[in-house]
Amino acid sequence: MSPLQYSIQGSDLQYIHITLQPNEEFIAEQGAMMFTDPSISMRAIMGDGSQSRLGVIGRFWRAFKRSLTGESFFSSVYKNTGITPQQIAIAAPAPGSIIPINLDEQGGSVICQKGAYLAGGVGQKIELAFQKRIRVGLFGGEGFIMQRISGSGTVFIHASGALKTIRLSSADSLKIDTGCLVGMSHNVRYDIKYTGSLKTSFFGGEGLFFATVSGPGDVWIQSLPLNRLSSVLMSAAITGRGKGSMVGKLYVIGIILFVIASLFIGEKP
Amino acid sequence: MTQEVNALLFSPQHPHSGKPVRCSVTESALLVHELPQLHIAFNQIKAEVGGFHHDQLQLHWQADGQHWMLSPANTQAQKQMVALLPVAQIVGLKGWKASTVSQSTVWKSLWIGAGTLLLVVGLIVWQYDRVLDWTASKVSLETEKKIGDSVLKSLDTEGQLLKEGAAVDAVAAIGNKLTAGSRYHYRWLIANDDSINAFAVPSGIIVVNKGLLKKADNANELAAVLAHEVQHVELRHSLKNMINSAGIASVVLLVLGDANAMMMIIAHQVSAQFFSRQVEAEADIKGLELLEKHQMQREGMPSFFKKIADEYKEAEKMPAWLSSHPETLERIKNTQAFIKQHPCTGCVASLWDKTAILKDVKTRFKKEDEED
Repeated sequence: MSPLQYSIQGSDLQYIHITLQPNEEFIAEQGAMMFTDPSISMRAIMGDGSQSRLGVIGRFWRAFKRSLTGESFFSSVYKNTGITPQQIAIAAPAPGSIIPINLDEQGGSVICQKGAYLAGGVGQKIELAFQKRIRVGLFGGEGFIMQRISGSGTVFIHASGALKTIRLSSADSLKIDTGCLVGMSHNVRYDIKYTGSLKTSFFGGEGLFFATVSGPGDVWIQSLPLNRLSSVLMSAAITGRGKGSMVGKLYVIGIILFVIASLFIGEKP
Repeated sequence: MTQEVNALLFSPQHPHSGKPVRCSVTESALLVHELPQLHIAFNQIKAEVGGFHHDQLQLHWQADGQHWMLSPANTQAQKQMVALLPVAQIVGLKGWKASTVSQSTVWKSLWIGAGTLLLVVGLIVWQYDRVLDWTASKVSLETEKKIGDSVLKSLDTEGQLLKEGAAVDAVAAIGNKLTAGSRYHYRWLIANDDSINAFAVPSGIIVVNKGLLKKADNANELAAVLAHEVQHVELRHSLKNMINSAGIASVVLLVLGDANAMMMIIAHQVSAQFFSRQVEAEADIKGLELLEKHQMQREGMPSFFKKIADEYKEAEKMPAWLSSHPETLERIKNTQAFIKQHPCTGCVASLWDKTAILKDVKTRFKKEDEED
């Protein structure tokens, strides 16, 4: 099988531009398609389309578990039914960046945060990776549920902010702000570490714990987790709602001052 | 014969996802079958926990000023490797074992805890009657008497209860025959109420309405009603009802976190409704047994139920006694069937002087009214 031909376009609001060879298939999450050439057909499949020895029930159960990892219940398969190469574009659902991961270079599987999967080749599995370590699940910033993407070929993950890939050797480790971890190779150890002192944890702005990762393997880190972005936007939306709010406040303060003053004025006669 | 184990070798020279190698363990060292073969003494190796789930074995060492690491290729290989390596000679291997064991222990205990909780809840739901019986049996007779007295006090506020006199004595004469040898001290009262009803208060207070005395045609019917109410007391039904309601209320509180008065009332209604059907049926049958035990005729029970059913049909309106005693027709059938199955040859009819009782009731309540 020839490697997938793709290019990632855009800077902050990205999409993947893929060229599919005749009969080549590509899977993307529901509703991510931006445009396709006319000869590309689309069909919906349950979960990641992998077979189960329990038949329909097994596939349903897998799709259900997959949906717990922040993916949709169904995904879309795009197939080139023509005889010439065809174009397809898959867009990211939110501001951020798309990163291609070659699963063959990662020993066959990677672990990502909930909802990171965007698109990939046929036969890749997206499964639930349950965080067995309770303290990491509670304080690691990624919760108890992550997703394990396994298979071969290229998979595209998406996260908000800028994405940075860091390659760790077996001697390396890294401290990461909790919530900024997007994904890691399956060999990478993911743990948490106390920030050091109460003063640091209260005033350092990084919370009580760091996430720590140690090699060997790759880790992907995002500069701006979506919840942080949304809280910034939310607070901006609230303060920016009434543009003349300052005038309004002064007006109210003026009325209060007037009432107080009138009490004293009224006493004089 | 040395056993070979599949593993992945990591070093700056190798691909970052590791190089598949085979290795074996001798008495003093780890051998990696590479070209050239690597020979790592146990005292150079440091074992660490690795992987996403912290269940991977990683063996680290320094060689030629570089950091090397070896990790078993899969769980099967890891088991083999752990079995081969000497715990005492490798730094950190003991700690590795302890941490993997402790992690699985935490999850096992969590599962066991959750399972036990589920089992206990299931058992309580399944054996609810027994749990209720057991809880009720923990309430002492004194406590029950206190409850009964306070209920009686709240009922007696308007002087609408007869506690003595010929009518009360006549009811008591029949009632005491039924309750001979009971652990409760029974008190028999008549209420100035025309609805056909009788009820039992915990600790052996039985109140018969004036209307019921009027409606009953013979003493057998009165005896049957009394037997029914006596069994409510003996079986501690109202006590169990209270515990049942308290239990349902606390479950509602636990599940919803915050229960408002409306929820509580609904929960109480539903549980009481469900509870009363069981309890009434039980009191019917046990009442019949009680009558049989004291050689009293039992036909009054179905015949009195019939009277109530007729009344309901005629008036098209539920008498008070019926509303808390559902499915009257069902009860007629059941009691009749029971009497047929358990014939009582020596049973004699109960006797009373109905006119004298009613006259006494009338004059006494009139007196009370005048006093008021």
